Amino acid sequence: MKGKVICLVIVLTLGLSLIILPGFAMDKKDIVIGVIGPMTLSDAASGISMRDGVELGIDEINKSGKLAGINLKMVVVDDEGNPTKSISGNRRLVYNEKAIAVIGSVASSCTLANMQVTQEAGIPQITPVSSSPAVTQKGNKWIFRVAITDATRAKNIVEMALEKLGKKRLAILYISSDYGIDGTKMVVDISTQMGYPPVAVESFNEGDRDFSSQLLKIKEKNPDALILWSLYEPAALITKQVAQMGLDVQILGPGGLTNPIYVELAGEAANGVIVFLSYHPSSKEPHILSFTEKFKEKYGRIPDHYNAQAYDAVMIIGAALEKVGVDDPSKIRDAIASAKNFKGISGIISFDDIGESTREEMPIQIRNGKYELF
Amino acid sequence: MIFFEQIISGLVTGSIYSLLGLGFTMIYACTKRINFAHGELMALGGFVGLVFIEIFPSCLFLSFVLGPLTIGLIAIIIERLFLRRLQEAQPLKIVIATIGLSVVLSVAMQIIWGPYPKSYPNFISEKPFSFIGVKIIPQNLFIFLISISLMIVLQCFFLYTKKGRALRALSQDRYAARLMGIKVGQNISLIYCISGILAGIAGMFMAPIYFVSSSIGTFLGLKAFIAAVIGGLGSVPGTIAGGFFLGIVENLSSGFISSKYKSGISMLFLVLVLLFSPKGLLSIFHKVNLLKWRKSKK
Repeated sequence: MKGKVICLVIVLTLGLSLIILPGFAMDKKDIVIGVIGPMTLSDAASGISMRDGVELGIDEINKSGKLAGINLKMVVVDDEGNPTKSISGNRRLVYNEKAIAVIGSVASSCTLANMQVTQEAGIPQITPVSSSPAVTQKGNKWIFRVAITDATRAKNIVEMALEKLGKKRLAILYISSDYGIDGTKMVVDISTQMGYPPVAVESFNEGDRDFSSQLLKIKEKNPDALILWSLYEPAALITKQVAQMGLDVQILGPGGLTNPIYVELAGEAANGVIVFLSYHPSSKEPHILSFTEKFKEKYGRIPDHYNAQAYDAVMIIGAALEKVGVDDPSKIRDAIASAKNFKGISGIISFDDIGESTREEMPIQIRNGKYELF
Repeated sequence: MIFFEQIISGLVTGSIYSLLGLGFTMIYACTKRINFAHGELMALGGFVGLVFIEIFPSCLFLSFVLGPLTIGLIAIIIERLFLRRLQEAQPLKIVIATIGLSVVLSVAMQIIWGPYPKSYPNFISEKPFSFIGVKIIPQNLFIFLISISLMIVLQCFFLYTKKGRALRALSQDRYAARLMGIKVGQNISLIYCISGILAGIAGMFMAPIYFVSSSIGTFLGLKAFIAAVIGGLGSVPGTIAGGFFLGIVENLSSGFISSKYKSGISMLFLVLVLLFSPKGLLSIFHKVNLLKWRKSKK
């Protein structure tokens, strides 16, 4: 009898707690911010950087209590850098998870594909990483970009090589995907306009790991600078092989070369490489300094520019939600579009009428395995 | 000179294809099955090798013994627990099962070692030296020489030792071999062990050149399988020749035609070989069957 009573008490307590506890949690409404990008396979480092930046931003918005009665929740979908998976992933975020805004993806080919889903559903999307100019030129009013475009990058890199460094014989080695092909075309155009058309233009396929034949061909043309338009893993292999071969060139590049994993993989060979970044941890501006500290505390590493850009993207969404609430996606879109002089970690952000936030980047050189201001 | 440099870098890639292709060939010769998880064993070899290098940083040689042996052991475990139960199943089912296994291994590596590729310490200097005007990287020369000597040792093992003869008998006719007193199960374990060890060595050799990542197994495994088919799946000398052939063709075609068509051109050779000499490239010059040099007298 006694046993039965105890059992009954336990069951009742458990039952009651099941009813009451969610009640406490229900205080705040969960609102989903979707994150889509490669979390596995060869471009995972970029996707994970983006995710961590968003996560930090969301934590901060939730802690600040600026959004009354709302708890922002991050839902991450892995698109493996594959456009088809990116479309279905974005569908999942928009229709199943009921995301109110989407951040992503990394590869421009993925963003170009999956932004049709958010356009169709009328949900704002911000990409903090994709850099192909085409992303904002499709007449899609739901897509915004806080990344720096390849057009800006190509101009910066070529001007750096030809004007500041006084190089004359450029060689280009690029990945033959739309990312590499478009970027290379811009580099070739700009350098030709400036009077020094590249002496060698070589490509490689995704997944290639041996670049000796391309590098031997480039070496024959005797270049003084090499522009790498590539993701981080092949870029690191190429940088190592350039050093092994004793090819004496100044390496410059966008994208992959700006990822800290690139420096880790290429080791000593990466020293001297010049890149452009929108964020640098050495900045002493108070809001940037506080971001760097908070990030280091949470993740135990120094943030990179993808972290900064993703953080900016979620902060812009947060500011829009604060202004117009969470009920009407088209109002949220308009609030995002109207962001003017937003003091972001990756620069002062204002969107133009196609959703682009053009701003300058800082030249950075890798010295002793660290990204330092040039 | 650029021609010779292209050939030399092709030989280095080729020696990795050959080492890896030998695993496919030996398992095929003895069991008539293809182990598509072989490439993942190589990637695992790279990661496990790195673990040993971190434990014994001062003695690279020790890591080079322990790493591949661990992979040999893992290959035996996979064979005993998993593939042996499928021994009598249809070949297609085994193909699917090993493809499944390769995905499982690759995901497991991603969980254990993370999604990022990892760099490797160099065994010896990377600084190139000049040999009659041709630049050679000592590390690549080292990889090439060790691979060649391993292949010679392996070929001698098959030709001149009792165990090697038993394995060759097994490859010709499993039931006759069993009647002659050859322990089939034990010998199949041995063949998996040797192929695992070779995969482990290939994994540690390719890592300083290509980095080690969970996705590299699929990429190099497929290339090595194609090399084995081009050279003659089931024939040790054929597979070695196929590996070097594929490495050189890839390098020359990207060096002198275009890097865009590199894979296309090597696949074209695969198709041509399958059309005109289905038993592999070497059988054009030499009628080789399976693990034998000499023609069998029947």
